[in-house]
Amino acid sequence: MSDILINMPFFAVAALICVSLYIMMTQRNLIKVVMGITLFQSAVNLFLVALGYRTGGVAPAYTSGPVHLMVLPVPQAMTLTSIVIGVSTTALMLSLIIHIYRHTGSTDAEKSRRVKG
Amino acid sequence: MNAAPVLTFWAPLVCLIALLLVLIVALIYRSRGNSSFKEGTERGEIFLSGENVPEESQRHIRSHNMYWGFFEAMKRYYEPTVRTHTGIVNDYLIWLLAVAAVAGIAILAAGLM
Amino acid sequence: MDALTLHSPILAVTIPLLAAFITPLIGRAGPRTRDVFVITSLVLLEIVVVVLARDVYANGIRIYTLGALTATQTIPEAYMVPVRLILEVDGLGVLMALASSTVALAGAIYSVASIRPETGQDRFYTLLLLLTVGMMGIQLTGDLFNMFVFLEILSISGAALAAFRTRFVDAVEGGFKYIIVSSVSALLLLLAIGLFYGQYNALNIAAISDAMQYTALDKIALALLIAALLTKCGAVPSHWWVPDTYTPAPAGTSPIMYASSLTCLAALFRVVFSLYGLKMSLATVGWLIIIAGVLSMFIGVTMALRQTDIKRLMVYHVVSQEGYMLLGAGVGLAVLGDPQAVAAYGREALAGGLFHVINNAFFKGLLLLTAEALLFQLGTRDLNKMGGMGRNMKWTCAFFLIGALAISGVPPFNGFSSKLMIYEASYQFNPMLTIIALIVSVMTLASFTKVFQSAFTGPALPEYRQVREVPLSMKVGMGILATATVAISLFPSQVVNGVIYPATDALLNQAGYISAVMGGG
Repeated sequence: MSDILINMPFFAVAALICVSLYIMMTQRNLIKVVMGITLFQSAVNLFLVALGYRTGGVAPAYTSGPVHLMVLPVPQAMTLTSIVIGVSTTALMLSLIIHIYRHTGSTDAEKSRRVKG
Repeated sequence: MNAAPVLTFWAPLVCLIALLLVLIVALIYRSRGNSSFKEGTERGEIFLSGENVPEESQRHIRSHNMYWGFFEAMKRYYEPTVRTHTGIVNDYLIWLLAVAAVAGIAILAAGLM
Repeated sequence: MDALTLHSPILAVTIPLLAAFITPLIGRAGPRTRDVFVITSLVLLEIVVVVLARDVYANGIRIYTLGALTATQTIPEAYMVPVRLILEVDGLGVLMALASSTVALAGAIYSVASIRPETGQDRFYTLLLLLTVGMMGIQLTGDLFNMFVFLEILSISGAALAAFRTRFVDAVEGGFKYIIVSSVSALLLLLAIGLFYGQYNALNIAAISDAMQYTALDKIALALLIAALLTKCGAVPSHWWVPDTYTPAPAGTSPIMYASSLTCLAALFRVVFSLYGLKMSLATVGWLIIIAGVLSMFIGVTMALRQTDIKRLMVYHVVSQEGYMLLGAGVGLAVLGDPQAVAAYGREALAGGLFHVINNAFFKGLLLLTAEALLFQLGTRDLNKMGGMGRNMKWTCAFFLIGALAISGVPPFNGFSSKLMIYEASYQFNPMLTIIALIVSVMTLASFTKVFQSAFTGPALPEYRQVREVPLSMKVGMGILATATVAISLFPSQVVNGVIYPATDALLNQAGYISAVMGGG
């Protein structure tokens, strides 16, 4: 039982990935597709942070107090980078959806496409 | 292993010299042509056995007529292929994840054997 | 070692990065100043890349550790693993860097005239330089997470460039599809990086490769990496975004975006050869890449034959030519464990694939620029409306002929040389692959004959009597790529021995790649 509790973040990551893949593959509204991608980004960020956890560790910052076991700092740095990249790509995606809506009057993936084949 | 044994027969300088020789032979033939032809006279016009020659935009064969026979013969290949190119973003993502799934199953299965 | 050579790996990434962010500032002084500044910075980039290339060919793999006291101190004192970010430049890195810096320079010179009717030109040049930064970063880095970051830089600037002319609906749609597909691919890559870090506590490619035990998690990571990078380079069955995105790309950025696809292909080679190498099941992964290559070749060219939009036709050929490169690399990978087969045909297959990469960057880029030239002068991309342009646009016609003959594999051009290497090597592996490749080559020639007939030959149409040749900067841009194509065509043996075989040996020599960072055999 404690095994499941300790690995709960990874189960959450798996659930989030499954939900986000379902949204990306089946929802036709373009904004919902972007939501699915944002959810996928959050899942991967959670995975990275959960990787670095060490049982009983403290935040990875050297202070003037005694040195404890620390959680790994590198995944936290990776997650920060990933969050920033996620924000900028989401901004680009949403602004392009606004342009598509202005041109075609619809945010449906099938009705707003003008190129195929 | 040197690349020379692969490329000496087809070496580009050999090809260029061959092309130059063919060009010289062609020019010799051209210079021995009919000297009574005058540029710009009626001899240079298009002749369609007495029919009227249509104007330029109707004379030029447009690109959607090209290779019609090939497309007709390959219709059974083309129709499902073109239908798969839908242009919908969700389909693009489905294919991406399908590639990941197929690659994953193939690699995991190869490791088990 | 003088300062330029010592710092050339990091200069190749930071020169365009700095130039990208200063460009809007310099743009305040006027468009001429800005154009001169952008082209000067790309010429400087080319010089730095050539200096780096000469150093790598003379001295082997170059290491550059960011943040250390000396550039080659990969493992800090009192540590046992490389913790800093390390740029590791080998033969493959300089091959791609030479190709992409030349293409970026030609594209930027072409854009000087071609982007003039548009607004927002400062931002255009910033995006172009950022795209170059993304390419340089992926090619020269030795660290997986760094590769992810530069991949995202490349994707974002590529999508913004594709959607640059927002008044066209297909441009906006193309940019949107690109950023969606790229985001998901990059997230799969990040997931794989997380799997590696969790197991081996390292982000450096050489360090992970040294410690790799090919567990089940590594196999999952391999599948994710292959799917993500095959999608990013535009191989079937994940090529759907390529025509939509590359067709509306403005001005001179089409060749640069194509070079960004080739960069992702080089990243795939790096992962498969240097990161995993002999430890994985070579036959499976090799055949996966071969099948992807064969499907790309065939589906790419058959879809291209149908198109009546000249740029979309050429962009489908992008998919098809990438198939040749994947075929060559797949054959080389499938026989990697057998030293006799590698010496007999594996090395030549991989060399043919890599030679085809640099050839394609030049002649395919040239063809894309000629399609844009026709669009610039005629205002349409529809082949059904064109005709007789060989009379009015003689330079464009000549450049088109060079590119079309090169891509179809007609001797004496360089396309023929690289395709011959791929044919000869894959025939010894499996003759069926060579037969498919030959049929695809014939169909490539057929589709370019169609374009030549529709656009350049034929009677002089009355509506195009006033059409003149393209401006000088566009001719110079096309001329650079045409000169590079002809130069490689005339001296294929020297190029293959001097540039391609070092890259091939760098990929095949995984132990050398690891020991350059980890130190000691």
